[in-house]
Amino acid sequence: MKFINEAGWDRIARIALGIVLLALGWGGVVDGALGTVFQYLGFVPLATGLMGWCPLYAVFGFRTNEAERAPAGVA
Amino acid sequence: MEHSTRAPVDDIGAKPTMVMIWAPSCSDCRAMRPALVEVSKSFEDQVDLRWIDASTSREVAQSMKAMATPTLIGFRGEEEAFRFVGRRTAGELHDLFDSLATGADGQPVGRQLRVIRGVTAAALIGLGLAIGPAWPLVIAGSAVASWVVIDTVKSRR
Repeated sequence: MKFINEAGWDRIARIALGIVLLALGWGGVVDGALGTVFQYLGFVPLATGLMGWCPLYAVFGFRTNEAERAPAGVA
Repeated sequence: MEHSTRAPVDDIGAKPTMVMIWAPSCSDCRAMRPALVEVSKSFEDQVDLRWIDASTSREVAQSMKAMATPTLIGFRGEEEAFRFVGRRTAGELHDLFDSLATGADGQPVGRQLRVIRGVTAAALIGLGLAIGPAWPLVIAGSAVASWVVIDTVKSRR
């Protein structure tokens, strides 16, 4: 899909980071305001990793994957 | 000159698909067939192979802008990923199937992506139930699990 701007490794790292933040926040490992931030911030890398699309990347025209190849060969 | 096209074959679903446009009179097609069948078997869980006989399904072949045989067209979903005309070696066929299975840039597709999403869903639900329960995590995990189920059903249609 053309809108995907994250490489496979990027997506997996984001999903892992999201789960870690959520575990720290909801598990009570990190308390207070920071814990609350983790509780909700963790959904951001999780969602972007699952979708393969980062809005910040899109705004700055950045991507960690290769651009879509143009169809090769001429029929 | 680009000939990219959207797949007109109605039953191409979410699973990557290789379309082979061939003709009985095409010697290159006949020569390539055994290798193509062999390679497709090793990717059968990740990539569908569809055969279009240009001599009997001329309209379909023309709608896919196939001007000669053999023509190999790779689709990811409904979008054309690549197109090659002429005979391919077994090694080239393997690389083409592999590129469809893994994505041009190493993107996990198909089963790999469903496994990643399934593991994520299980981790969220397990984590949510273990700590609390933390219902936002359980709900998020359930939503991801539903996504996996829907995607799996769509890919098998």
